[in-house]
Amino acid sequence: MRAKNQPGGPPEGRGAGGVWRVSWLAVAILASVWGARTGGTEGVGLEEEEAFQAAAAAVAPAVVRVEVAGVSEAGLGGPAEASPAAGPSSGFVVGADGWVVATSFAVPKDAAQAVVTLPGGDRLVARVTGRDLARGLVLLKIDLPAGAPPLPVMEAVPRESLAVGQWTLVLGRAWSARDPSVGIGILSATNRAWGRAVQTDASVSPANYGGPLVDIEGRVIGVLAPLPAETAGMMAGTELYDSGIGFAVPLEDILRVLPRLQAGETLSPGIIGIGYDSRDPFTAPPVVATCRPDSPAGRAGLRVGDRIVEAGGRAVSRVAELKHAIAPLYAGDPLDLVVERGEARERLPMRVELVATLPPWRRPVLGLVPRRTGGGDAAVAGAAPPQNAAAERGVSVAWVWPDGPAARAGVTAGDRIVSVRPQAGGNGGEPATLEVTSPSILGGFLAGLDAGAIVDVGIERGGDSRSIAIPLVEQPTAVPVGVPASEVDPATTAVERLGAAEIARPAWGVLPAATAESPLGVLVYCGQPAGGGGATAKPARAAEVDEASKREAERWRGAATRYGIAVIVPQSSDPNRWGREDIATLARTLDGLRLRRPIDPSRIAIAGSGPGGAFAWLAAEALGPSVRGVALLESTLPRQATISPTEPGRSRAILFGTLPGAAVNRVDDDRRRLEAAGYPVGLLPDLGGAGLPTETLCSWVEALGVL
Amino acid sequence: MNAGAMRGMTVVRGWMIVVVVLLGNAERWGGAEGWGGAKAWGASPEETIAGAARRVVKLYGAGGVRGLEAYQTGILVSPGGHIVTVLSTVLDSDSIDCVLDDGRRYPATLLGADPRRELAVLSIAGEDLPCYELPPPDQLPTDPAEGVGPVARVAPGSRVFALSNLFGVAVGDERVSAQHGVVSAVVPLEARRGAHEAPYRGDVYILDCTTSNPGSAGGALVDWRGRLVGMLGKELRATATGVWLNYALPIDEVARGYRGVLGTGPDAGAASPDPDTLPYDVALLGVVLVSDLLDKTPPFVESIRDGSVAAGAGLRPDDLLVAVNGRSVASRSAVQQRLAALADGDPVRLTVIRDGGIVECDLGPKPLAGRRP
Amino acid sequence: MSLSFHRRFTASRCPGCLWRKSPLTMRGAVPLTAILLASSLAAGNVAATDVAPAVRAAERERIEAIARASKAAVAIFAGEAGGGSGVLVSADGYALTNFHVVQPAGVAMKCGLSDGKLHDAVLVGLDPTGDVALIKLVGRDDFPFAELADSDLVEVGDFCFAAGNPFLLATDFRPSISAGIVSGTRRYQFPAGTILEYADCLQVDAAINPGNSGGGLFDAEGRVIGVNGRASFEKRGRVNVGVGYAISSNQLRQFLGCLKGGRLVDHATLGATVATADDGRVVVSDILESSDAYRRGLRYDDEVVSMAGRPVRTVNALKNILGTLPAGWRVPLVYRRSGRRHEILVRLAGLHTSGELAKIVAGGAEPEAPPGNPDPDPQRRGRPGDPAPHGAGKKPEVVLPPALVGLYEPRNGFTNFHFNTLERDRVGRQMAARQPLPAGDATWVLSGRLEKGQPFRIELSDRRAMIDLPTGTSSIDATGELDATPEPPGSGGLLAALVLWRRLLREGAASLGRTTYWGTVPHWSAAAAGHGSESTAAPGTPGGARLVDVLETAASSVEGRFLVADDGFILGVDLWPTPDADPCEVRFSPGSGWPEAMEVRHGDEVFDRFRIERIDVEAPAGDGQNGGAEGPADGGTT
Repeated sequence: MRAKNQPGGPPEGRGAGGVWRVSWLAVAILASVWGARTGGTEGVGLEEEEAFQAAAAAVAPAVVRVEVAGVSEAGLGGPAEASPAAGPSSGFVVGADGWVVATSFAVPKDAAQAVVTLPGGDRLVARVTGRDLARGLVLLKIDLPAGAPPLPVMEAVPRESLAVGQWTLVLGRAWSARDPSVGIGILSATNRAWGRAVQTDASVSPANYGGPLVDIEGRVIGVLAPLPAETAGMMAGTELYDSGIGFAVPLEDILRVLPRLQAGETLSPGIIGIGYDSRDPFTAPPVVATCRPDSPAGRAGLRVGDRIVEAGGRAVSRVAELKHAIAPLYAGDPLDLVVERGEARERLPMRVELVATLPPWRRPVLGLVPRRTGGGDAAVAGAAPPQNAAAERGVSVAWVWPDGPAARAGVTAGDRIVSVRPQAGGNGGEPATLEVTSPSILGGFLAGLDAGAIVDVGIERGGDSRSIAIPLVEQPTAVPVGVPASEVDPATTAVERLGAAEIARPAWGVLPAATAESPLGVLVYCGQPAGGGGATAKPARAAEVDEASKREAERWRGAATRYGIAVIVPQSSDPNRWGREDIATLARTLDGLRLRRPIDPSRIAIAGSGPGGAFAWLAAEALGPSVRGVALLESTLPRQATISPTEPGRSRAILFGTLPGAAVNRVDDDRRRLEAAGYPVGLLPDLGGAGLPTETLCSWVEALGVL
Repeated sequence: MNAGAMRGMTVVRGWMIVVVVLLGNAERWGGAEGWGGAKAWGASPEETIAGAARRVVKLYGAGGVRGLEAYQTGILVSPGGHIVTVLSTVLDSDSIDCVLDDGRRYPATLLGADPRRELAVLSIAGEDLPCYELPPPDQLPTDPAEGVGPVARVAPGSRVFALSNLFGVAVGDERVSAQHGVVSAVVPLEARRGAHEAPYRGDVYILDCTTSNPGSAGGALVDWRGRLVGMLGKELRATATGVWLNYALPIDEVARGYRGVLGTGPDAGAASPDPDTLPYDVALLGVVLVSDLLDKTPPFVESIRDGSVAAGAGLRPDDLLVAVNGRSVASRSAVQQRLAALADGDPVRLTVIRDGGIVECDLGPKPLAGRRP
Repeated sequence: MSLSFHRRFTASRCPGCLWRKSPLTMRGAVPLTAILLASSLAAGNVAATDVAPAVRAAERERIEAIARASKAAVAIFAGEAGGGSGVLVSADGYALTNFHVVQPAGVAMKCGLSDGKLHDAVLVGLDPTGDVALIKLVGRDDFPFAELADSDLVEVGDFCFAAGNPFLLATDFRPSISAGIVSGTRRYQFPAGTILEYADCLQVDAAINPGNSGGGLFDAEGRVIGVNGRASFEKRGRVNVGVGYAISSNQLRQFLGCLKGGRLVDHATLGATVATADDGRVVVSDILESSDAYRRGLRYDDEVVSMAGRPVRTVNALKNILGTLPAGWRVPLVYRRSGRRHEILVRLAGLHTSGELAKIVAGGAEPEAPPGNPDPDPQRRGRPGDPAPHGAGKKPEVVLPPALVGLYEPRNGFTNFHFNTLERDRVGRQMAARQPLPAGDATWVLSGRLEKGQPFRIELSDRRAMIDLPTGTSSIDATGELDATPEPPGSGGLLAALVLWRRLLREGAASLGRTTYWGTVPHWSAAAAGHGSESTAAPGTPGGARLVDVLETAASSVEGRFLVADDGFILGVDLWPTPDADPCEVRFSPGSGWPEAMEVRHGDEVFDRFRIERIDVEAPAGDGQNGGAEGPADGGTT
């Protein structure tokens, strides 16, 4: 049709004369035309097909099948909907004498051995020798029988020779031991997962995780792996299978650490131990907002307020660039930084040594509870600053924790915290005074200190201002008594469905009135599954179930109103059990809630009783640090629950509530594990059949805002 | 764009007109001279797709209920209006509408179905319709090497286009959607949707493009030469991993199913599902596996009955079964299904892990179900 | 065991063998591979297979095209609200993206380019119905950009690729590229409520994931054939399933003028609905009497044959055509009534009142999500539980970063009025450069012959306008507010139109009353009405008209529009004595400096065609009665 634009010439080749005249030429010229149009004439199209098959055949001998044996499915029941959980996968030979690299999808961390099927169908038992936790890879060793030829080892394409747009093939052997599976695509990007992977648009899925990413010449670019798309909050990475977004860890990088993996090492991502103020890493400068004394950064002498300008010899101007410098490194690797400090912007070179984990972080507090504010911190880009921040200076105290440090130091409700300054020894060098403009700034400052440190707190009361020295204590675990409650008429509180287009069984919400100046806390309460629980329960009609959870919600009206807490009562989509899909639904419900009522991000908690307890924990883990508390009533942690140690900004209060004598041992066990990991764990006074302690739980949510 | 290229374009256009003319003939003579004219195809991806699209129809029937679409795709396989498609709820309707590439609308009637292949044959009252003529059974290509006329089997790595009525986005004379990819693998189908296990256990093409979409089922899979190589399958998940499967029924299976339904092929009357898909009790071999507690219990051997075939073959308690006759088994139920898939009397070989090593155990012929050795 | 192992292992090259049997792999590559393979097994290392030169060449071409396109790709970050993609279309930093990408961002946003640099960008224009937004990046005057191709030439099966920021993976600002083919053309995707309608769009199997929204869809040469904005997600939650949709570059081109003018642009409606008759014809099933189509003669049950030069065979086809046209455009429509063919030019009305659009943009009326839900924002929903900014969904207060200060001016009916002023002044400068004007308050006398040969004489001064026609003489007062009497009779207001024309020429766009930049419209050169046109066609514009700038001005009840060619020549004036009447349409044919001829139309009628033989510019005279008595020194006398 381009001929349209061509003056002269037979318009659209119409008119028999034109047609026949040109037709015999066509074959000859076709190729060049197609070269220009599609990057593949029919001729080239089929030549490309040959090249695909040749390249695949060249690499196939190094592609194996990998599956675990003797491991049972963990976690929530129900089919793996969004993301596949386990199953046969692939592996790639990296050592002629039986070294095979696979992914932690194929060989989860609780598996010590795997079965490797070689091209041709021979099965061999492989043992796990090393793991690369930063890239989700695992190194397997198989012992080749005497007389077996060495496994073929492929050459690696040098990373710098890669070009976005070049052909990429993805190979796997999960489908059949005889033939490898082949997928075709192009190289989409060369610097993904913060520098740990390249990206392809070929179909990458459990079938070829662990398989090679190959170029058109049959050279190996990398090993396919399900890396989490952190920016999209994807935890497993498997959510993206067959989406046109696939990742491969460059073979070069793997070979570089191969000796360490062969030696049995477990390579962990390196942590530097600082936090940033903004949640937008793409635009925010790398200014230290939290920095723990016992972290690599702290030891190296970084301080809150420092601006990092160089990392690993490269200039960095955004948090994202700093992450690119850190993420490819492992625990134990050194990283050279240059920071600018203070008005003078004095340049300080320092070297940090990355670590795998920080000791659990026990959130230090002054023992005062600030007046509620919304998420409208300075950090929130594009949003109007909340009224109150503009109107007043500092952070105003709503109430003080009964005989906490602040109380003992004489702080009272109504006081305004305007500045803080750690006393010497706080963070090396002579400490600087920090102006407090929002609770999150104060929180970030405290997060950088340890319990026991003493802070000079600048306070304004009425007209006059003073400075009081207050020692920090660990976040208290008990539910405080005498939490101030409002006298608002519960009738003003709405009980309504929190529906959304895609939600089949919408949750019920108890929504007290609120303003931007006094946002609501949030408590999600998960009780019995919609059907009443237990596979034996007869399937209840949807309407009945809906009614039931509405009644459930109504029980909260009083307490929710008194303490200004929005209570959400979700319904499980499977009438008999809480499942993965319910977590996604809950996330959407919370998003929906934010559009209806202003929410205080420092007071979001999930409670569950019975079967809902385990769900509450898993949901909180999935929803991330924004959930500040989890309450398990007559319930324990789910089996196989992994408890990751707390970090600054990544801690939450845990509350156990038990009937006398019920499963106490399991609870005590969970409690020990949680405390060891740094979580503040509290116990509700015996529920003693007094029914659901809505009052206590709502006041507990209010108390989560303690600083 | 430079003048030279422009001339090139002019040429192409002119030439494509010629192609269309030839195609016209091919279609008209389709009945007479089998698959003649097919050579004229494949001038370019555009022409290949255009040629195939004329032979693909949009089907509308029952459904519309949550999760069940009321539409799918079909392939014209006779000038007189025979259509192959997948057997699905869409066809549970007295009035099935069939819309051709040029927008012509026909009522379609269900001639019959092959429940095992989940393949159905419809008929519309048309004549001289563009179509793919499926070869008679004795000429069916089964090997990638062979490939006759407009139909062929192809090898992994072969480039293909998938044409289908996906998401029902094309209406009236709008052309069905085209996707591109390669055949990833040729393997036996093991798939489910919810509780429903796919009855068909034969070979399918696994594709690297996403064809498991509403409405895609029954679509045409063609290679870059424009030859029909398969029919797109249903929306199913792989039993092993639970991922959505993109697969197609190879052309030879389509043809067998089609001839079978018409009663003109070897599969005539073989329209009943496989009898042997019921689980097979391992105890018949003398093997007692650990009891089924979790969703997926690994097949550890609990005990071996003395004097049983298993004992004779050297199986021991605490062995972990990893394969039955070479095919992996991750769970107890998988073991039972794999055994069930074997015909009575077939040799049984169990692969187990013992003390960190692989041990193969031959148990001899599979004992008949219901009879104890 | 070991023996069997060895045997089977050598057999494991079977894939090679199997494929060698394939007719597709007869030639060189595979046997050679087999050799390499054998050697490699011995050596424990594999050399590259040999690849046909044509394959390498094609790959190289693609890599180069992608490299070019990547430079024009924009990663848009809306802070907490997430982000998306965009594509630069001019060196001075104009970039196209989706309305649903910029809406949560507000007026200012940050944009990353593939060189790793971050730029501030300001919102310029919005088209909520078409899900299009125009933004402008600042900080350079030599931005890399991509050319808009003609999407009408795109065919199913064409190679294409998307460059964007799916799931905000472009942490280094370098776009993710996904390639594929065009799966379908001229697709129609229903709107969500009254906005986010994807008409005449391209369907592709290149992976389009959340975050790709707003990014470019490119052809094999790296030219933009569309802007990705929508995909069918329901199947896999929020993950691509091989079905994505892009707004066609030709639709974008038709809106670009209006968007550059900082407007809040609306889409067109015919004021009539159509249905498919039993015999398959597309017929008018309902029509508003207030619609221009009705005034032009379209009636119930007429068969719509074609519109804007495109055939109408299905209801979708008409939706597809209408869905790509801005409100206010005038396009040819062909209908058939009792066998007879009628060709008319129809002026299209707007889908919304500007109030409605403003409300939608403010986020007040958020539409129910459509099935193929456009998804700007992988971040917030992807990281459930993250605190959203206060009142997310409502438009945030405008806090401009320093780089953007002075680049934003709110005004009703506009997205960013600052850019309207820019465009108006640009057109003003072009006119000033084109037309050398006689100084002072001179009287212009245009004389010549009408189509049928009779003479005419037109006199234009600052005080009054007068015309002598065989049918008689009429005049209007040209001072102050124009009076709305449509003189001469039957012309619909020719004199008023000429007065406006003279004022525009003398005073310029900036100082002439309330004059704003409207955008661009297709120009139907003289004797337009559907009879085609000799003017050179811009790709994708209906019926081969070319797009020209339009200025809009209002003086009391009189409304006028000026069509201005890119060389600054005023091609025409449309004048509405009253808003709902048919305008008087004057079209000038360019001569050297002054126009050579003018055609005057009113409604369906051509009032007359004027051949302008001479133009006398008389020095400021006492009164114009004796106008023409003495010509200027150079000119002859009458």
